[in-house]
Amino acid sequence: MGEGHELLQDEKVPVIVANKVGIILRVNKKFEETFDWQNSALAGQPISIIIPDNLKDAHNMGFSRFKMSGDSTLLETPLDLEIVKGSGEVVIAEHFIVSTKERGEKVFVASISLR
Amino acid sequence: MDGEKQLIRKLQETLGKMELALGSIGESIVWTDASGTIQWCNKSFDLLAAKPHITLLGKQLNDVLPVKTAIFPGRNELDSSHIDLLKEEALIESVHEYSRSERTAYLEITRSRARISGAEDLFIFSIRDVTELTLSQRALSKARDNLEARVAERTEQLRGVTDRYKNILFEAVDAIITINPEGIIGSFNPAAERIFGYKASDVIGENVTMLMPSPHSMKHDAYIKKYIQTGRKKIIGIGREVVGLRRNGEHVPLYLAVSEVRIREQITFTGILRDISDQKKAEKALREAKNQADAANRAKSDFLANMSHEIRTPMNAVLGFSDLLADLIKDRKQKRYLEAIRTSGKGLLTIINDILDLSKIEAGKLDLHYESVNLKKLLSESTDIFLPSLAEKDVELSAEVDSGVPENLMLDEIRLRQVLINLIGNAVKFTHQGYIRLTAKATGLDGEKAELHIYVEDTGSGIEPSQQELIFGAFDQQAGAARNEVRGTGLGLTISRRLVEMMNGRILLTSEPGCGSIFHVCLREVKYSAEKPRIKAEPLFDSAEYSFEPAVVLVVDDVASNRELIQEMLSPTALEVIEAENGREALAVIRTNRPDLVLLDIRMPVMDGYETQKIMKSDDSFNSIPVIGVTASVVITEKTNLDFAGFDGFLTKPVSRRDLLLELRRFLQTKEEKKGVKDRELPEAAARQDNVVAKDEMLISLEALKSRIQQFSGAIELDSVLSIAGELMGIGEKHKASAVKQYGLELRRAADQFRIARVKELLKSFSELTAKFKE
Repeated sequence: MGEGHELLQDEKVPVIVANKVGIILRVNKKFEETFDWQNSALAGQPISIIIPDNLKDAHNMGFSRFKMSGDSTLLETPLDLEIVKGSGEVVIAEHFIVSTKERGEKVFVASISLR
Repeated sequence: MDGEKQLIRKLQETLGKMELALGSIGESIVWTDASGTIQWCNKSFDLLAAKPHITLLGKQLNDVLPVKTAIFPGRNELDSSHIDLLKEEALIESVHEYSRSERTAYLEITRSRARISGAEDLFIFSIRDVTELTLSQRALSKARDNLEARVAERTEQLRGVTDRYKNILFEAVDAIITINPEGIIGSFNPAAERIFGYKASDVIGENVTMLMPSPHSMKHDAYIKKYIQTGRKKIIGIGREVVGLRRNGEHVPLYLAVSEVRIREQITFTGILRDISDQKKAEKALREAKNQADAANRAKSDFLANMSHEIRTPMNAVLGFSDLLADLIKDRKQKRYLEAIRTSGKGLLTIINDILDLSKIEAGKLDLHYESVNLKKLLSESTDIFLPSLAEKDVELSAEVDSGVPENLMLDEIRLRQVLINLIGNAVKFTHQGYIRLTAKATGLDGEKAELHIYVEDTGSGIEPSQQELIFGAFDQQAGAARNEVRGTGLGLTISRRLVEMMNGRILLTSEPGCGSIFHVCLREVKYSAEKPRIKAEPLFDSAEYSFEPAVVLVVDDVASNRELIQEMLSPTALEVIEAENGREALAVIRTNRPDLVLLDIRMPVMDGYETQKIMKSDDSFNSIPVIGVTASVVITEKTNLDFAGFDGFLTKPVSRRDLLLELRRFLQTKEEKKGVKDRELPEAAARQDNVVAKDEMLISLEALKSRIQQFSGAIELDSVLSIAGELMGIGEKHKASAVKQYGLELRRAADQFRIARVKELLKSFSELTAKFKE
């Protein structure tokens, strides 16, 4: 895990950044536009806010496991996953999630592009 | 806030541990919502579905795991089963067939339902791969089914076998009973029921000894015990006759065979019994028939012996006294009358002998005695007898033996001679001119035996074809024959035919009236003889030589005329004759008058010859006295009996003077024997006076005989001595050496009379005889 992945600076694709415990730090403009979310509505919320209900348990379990073991099945693999838009609509989007450091802290950065 | 953060962190840790734990188990765990959408699954499920974990989340369980029967009804299916599914709470277990990569697997899927307060129910599935187990179970089930089928088949087969054996037991004619080592009856078939009169139910479970009469019943248990202990078989594997006891108390004869069967150390004895009552009855009937036949046979023998005795005893007197009279009567007319009596007596004896012969043959009592016979000699002797009777007829009588006939053959000389004499006698009777030819041929020679053909051919009157078979019938004679041609009993040809048949042969007749007849005797399988015929040296009878030294002879006979006859025969000698009427009287006489010899009749009342002789021989005082049995019996066994009984000699009635003196000569000393030394000197004296021809040649022959004589050491073989004596007489004759001839004669006489001491003496002096000729 390196420091400051390029995705952190990328404004062309929707990006969401969360801390090591799964709390959203910020989303970029592209994310706001693509998924009808305001940054202010998402920052400080658990990442599960954008996860459909039927995947929340899997996310919690998987995330908790990752934190315990460091064993991930999602990182650095393009994945088609469902995401909840600000409107409540659930859509499929390609996720690419990486783990990196920002100012010495572990963060998760995901680019999420609509199909 | 810190407390909340800590709580969240703790919860996350716990979740993480749970995920790890669930991820590590072998079973696949999945939970879905009420519609069957996968909410979460563990690593094992990821592997089972063969898809990345993240792609399974949110998918329909049925789609991800296409088992043949749906695990979870479809989301859109609102059928009753779906509703029921939603309602159920219990654990449901089922096995589903699952196809993946051309392989069929079996999954055991356990479904349960969890109620979440304030949220949708969860459906939790645990999935286990039970392919191996299922396949094993199926294989086991198949094997079990297979086994069951085979067992059923086998059971059926065994039932068939059992039924078959049951039928065998049921239908068997013989009783079949099984018992255990304690003798308890295990099975009892219908045949056993019939034989013993018990129902099977009466006897099964009881001891088999109930079927045995005592004392066998008491011993039976002990027999079984002993066998089991020792293994020594008395009856097992061996059949034997036993007696059974029926229900009604009757005894029944049975044939029992017992066998033993061991199955896994369990012993069963099987007895098979056959009712042999009928067989026993038949045996008894046979025994009785045999006894009757034996009794009849004995009766025949007794009859023959009686007839022989009754007829021969008076004949003995007739012929014996006629002989004596012949010496006394000088008047020519009286001599003629006497000759008629003698001739008639001899004729009568011949008739009697014929009748007795036929009776013997009919009774099966005539035995043949085969010995080495020179056929040429036999034929020649048989024809010689008739030469005097043909002297006045213009009939040529000849005998010829073909060169192919073996020199010596095994024949019954006496009986064959009898046949030939009968045939030649008939030919002589019926032939008045021309010839009577006796010829012998052999065919089928194989080095060991041959077929012998003897032809008696005549140029006599011939026989009508209608008569040809009749003449062989007993008492039938040729019809139309002139009175003077017919004599005799008419038994001759009958006897001849029977005798030839006994010799394994037959008589064939070819004849035509006016052209003569050919009687053809054909004997089959006549064996060659490797030995020369025994020389039956006719003992020279010169009554003048029989000058006995004084001695006492006891004559024992119940018939006075027989005693008188012996008296008269011996009156010219120095022998004193004393008499007794029966055995008891004889023993009394012996005690007072100690005779030198006893002539003992066999058949006497009060005490017979056998008993008398036995008593004599058992008494040390008298057992050295020679006893000569006098028998009228014609049966050869009588003579054998006399031999076995220890008689020293025997005479046959009617007794001739010649036979009597010859027999006495064997035991009583004569004046010549007393002289002794003079006998020995005789040949030597003669040797000086001989004009011997070809002396050297004679000496060579004598030397050859000397080496044979020297071979006698210890036992003297009288046959060999007789042979040597005959050769010496021949040599003496050939070389005009009377001393040698005389020596041979003396040797022959001594051998013939069984005077062993004299034989040895003569043999010792042989070298001196030959030495005299070398001087």
